Amino acid sequence: MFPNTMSNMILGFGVIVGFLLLYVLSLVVRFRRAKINRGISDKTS
Amino acid sequence: MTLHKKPSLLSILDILSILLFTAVLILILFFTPTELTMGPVQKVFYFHVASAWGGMLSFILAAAAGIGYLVTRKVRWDWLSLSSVEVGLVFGLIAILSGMIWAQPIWNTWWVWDPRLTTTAIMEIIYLAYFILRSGLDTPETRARLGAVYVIVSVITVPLTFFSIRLFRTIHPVVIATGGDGGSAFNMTPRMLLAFIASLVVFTLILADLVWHRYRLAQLQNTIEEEVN
Repeated sequence: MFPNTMSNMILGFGVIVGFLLLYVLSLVVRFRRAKINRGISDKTS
Repeated sequence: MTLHKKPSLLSILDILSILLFTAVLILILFFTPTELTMGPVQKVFYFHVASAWGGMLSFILAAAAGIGYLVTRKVRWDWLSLSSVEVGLVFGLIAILSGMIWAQPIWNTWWVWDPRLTTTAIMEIIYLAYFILRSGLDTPETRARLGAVYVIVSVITVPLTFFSIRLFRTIHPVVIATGGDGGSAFNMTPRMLLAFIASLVVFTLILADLVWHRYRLAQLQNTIEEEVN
């Protein structure tokens, strides 16, 4: 009989997938912000 | 200077990373055997090792890019170095957190000051300090030059972390073992070994994908900085 560590496994995979998605989201947000800033700097120059 | 259109190879890499990640996750959850003494939590091992591998690979790439910058003085090497360190930090953090979750039911504690865990934490802190160093420097040239020197020196923490389980007494299992040093290594079944190798491959692909995206962001940010100044 296996020890019941199912909840730890779910937490582990949740953290791994969650952090990867969070980083991807941070890239998307920073990209958008940079593009908006680029638009502003284009208008001012 | 303008930001180039997203390369089609990068789009392919995006799709490939998502599809293979999902496939390997299904392989691990439903097609690998459950380890007898640890139970289902052992399945975290595949992505735990793969993310640690990705982090270390990323820091080595950062050092190589640092050498590239010092030799050529081309700013694109600095972008690559910066991108690699950032992605490496994310992978390292995932390895530490997933390891803690795995350790909790097995070692009965979230954290011990074991040589492997300690050297990994030191490695993360050293690379975190890279961003503090960069933020304190005004000119892009100084930032790139000192950043390059910093990542080249810091890469010493990578072999130190990798070999810590062989150099010191530790409770951390040796995963990649040959001959006599494999006393605490897992006896992986063929399906476990397949999932393990597939995890390493998919995390390497994700690493390449994320570094490439971060590189393009650094390129865009540099363009804005040049236009403003």
